[in-house]
Amino acid sequence: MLRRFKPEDLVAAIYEEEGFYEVERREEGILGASSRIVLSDGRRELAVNILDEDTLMVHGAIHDALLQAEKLRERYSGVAIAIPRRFRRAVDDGVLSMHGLGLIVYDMMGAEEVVPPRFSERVEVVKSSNTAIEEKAVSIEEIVRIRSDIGRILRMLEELEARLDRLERAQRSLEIRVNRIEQRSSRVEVRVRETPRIEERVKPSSKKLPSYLVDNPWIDILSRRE
Amino acid sequence: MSEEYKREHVFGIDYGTSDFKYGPITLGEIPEVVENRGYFVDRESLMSRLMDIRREVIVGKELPLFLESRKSLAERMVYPMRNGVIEKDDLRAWRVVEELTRYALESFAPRDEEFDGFYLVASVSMVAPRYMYEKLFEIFKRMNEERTLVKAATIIPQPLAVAIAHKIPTCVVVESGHGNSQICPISMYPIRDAVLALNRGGCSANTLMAEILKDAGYGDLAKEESLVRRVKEELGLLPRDLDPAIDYAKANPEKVRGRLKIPGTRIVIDLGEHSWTRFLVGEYVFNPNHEIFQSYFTRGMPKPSDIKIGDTFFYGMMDMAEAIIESVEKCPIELQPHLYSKILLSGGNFGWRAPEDLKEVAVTSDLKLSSMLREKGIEDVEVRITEEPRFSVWRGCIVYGYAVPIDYEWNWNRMEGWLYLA
Repeated sequence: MLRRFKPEDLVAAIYEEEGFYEVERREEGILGASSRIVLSDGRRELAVNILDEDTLMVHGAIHDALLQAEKLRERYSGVAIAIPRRFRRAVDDGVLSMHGLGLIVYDMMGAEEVVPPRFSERVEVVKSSNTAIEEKAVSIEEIVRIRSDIGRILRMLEELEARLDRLERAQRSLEIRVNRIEQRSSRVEVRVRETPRIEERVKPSSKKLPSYLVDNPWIDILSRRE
Repeated sequence: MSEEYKREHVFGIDYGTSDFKYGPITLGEIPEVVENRGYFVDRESLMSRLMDIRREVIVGKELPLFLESRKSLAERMVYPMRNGVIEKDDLRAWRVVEELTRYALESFAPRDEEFDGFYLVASVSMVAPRYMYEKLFEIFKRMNEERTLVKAATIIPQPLAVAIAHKIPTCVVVESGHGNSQICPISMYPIRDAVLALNRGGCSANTLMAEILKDAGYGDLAKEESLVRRVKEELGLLPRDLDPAIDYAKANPEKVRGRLKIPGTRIVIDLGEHSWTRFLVGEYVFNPNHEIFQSYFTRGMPKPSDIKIGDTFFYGMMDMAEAIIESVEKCPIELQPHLYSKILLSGGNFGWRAPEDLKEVAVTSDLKLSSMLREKGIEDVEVRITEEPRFSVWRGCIVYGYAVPIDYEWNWNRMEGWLYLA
């Protein structure tokens, strides 16, 4: 069955190429939006308030959304709102652009950035105004570092796994070779012992080996295949 | 897993054109045999409801119990190996092969805990293309879905199995079956580059026999394939030399007269003045180029044509001795005398009898081929008809599995070795 993408995934996807990755997603308790995602490129943070069709059916919802988005500019480097494509005309691009807010429209085919958000130098502002947010910025940098560490560890694990595979194969091959060398050293003896064993198993009533196994030169030829 | 375990658990399967031979080494001389066919059950039919049949395909010895009307027989009965080659997308044929394989393995798989799967050696036609090997290995792998039935598997060509069963390491195996004939030189390994195939087999002789029956006034019987085959086997003769044999037959009509009563019926076939044509049937398999066959071709009998099946080119009109020479001449010169000195004829199409009173003009296949090769300048020829040709492929499989070491792993370049599946 085909997976239907959520608006949050569609919106996040358009910023992936610019090096942003999702660091937070909230789908409940958002004022003026149905959900919010926060994207970061390690240096800047972009908050996107996403409005679905149900939210927009409420009278004045678009104004409320814009006001709430404006408030977010204090906390994030950039802010945008995402609305379904069919509500595109309800928003004036010029006004949004003037206030530095971004506009994204989406439908089931994907998302499109109509007005790019204006990014402020948030880190410096944050440093001077809010210690808690500063800590958060540090933790995002830390996340980036941890992610790269995890990537490196995974690569090392893959290499180790491949080496283990090779070692296991080599061990198996050695075991087989040792077995064969042991058998070769006592080949004549083994054959003498084996003949009655097959005889016993072949047919309880028969005392003879199957005719095709007796004095068959192929047994020697085939047993030397390597 | 030890060599000892393998030797006790070798299992052979011969996917023959008409019979499917199978069984473990413990069977001794003779394998189990069932017909190489499967019956697709009509699940809606009264019969399948009454018998509570849950399977889609029925194979094996109980198959006749499930048959319904003659019409449905034609639609639902599948013979997968008719020409030794199964089309890649012939899903019904592959389904039958899978069911037969499961049937064979489950018939003999021990229930004890020590059992960890058979070492399966399967044998297919020399002309089987690579995709058949791939498909068969997939089938063998699926055998282990419920419990381990196949520890490791390998596939060998039928001529190699024949050579192994007859204890001859260097030889030419000529396998002539229902639809075609294959010539395979062997020197410890099958020499694949020298394999040559003819688009003539037992069915070609049947076609000519049907024409002869029509000419003799038995046009109604000529439509019954099984009857035609029987008449061919009973009345067909292989001439030492065709022209003198025809002269002899015309000079001694009573001695050569072909008369056959079909047991259990009122049918008596008497070729009468056409009895000399008995010699044509055998000759046609070995050499269809004699001018006498032209009259049959011009009257509409299909001429054996050159065709390509899978990766192999099948010659239609090349005579048997010429084909052997062409095949052997693709091998190193030093090896050629050794190959000519051991030619093994295998398959039901070489079973021509030479009645005692016609020994002057009628011969067996080995003598015919020896004389054809000598005529073409090949000396020191020894041609042998295989003993018990029905079981020799299975026996070759058992010897192969018994002897090949467990660490000789499958390789797609040399097409040999064990492919581990469990």
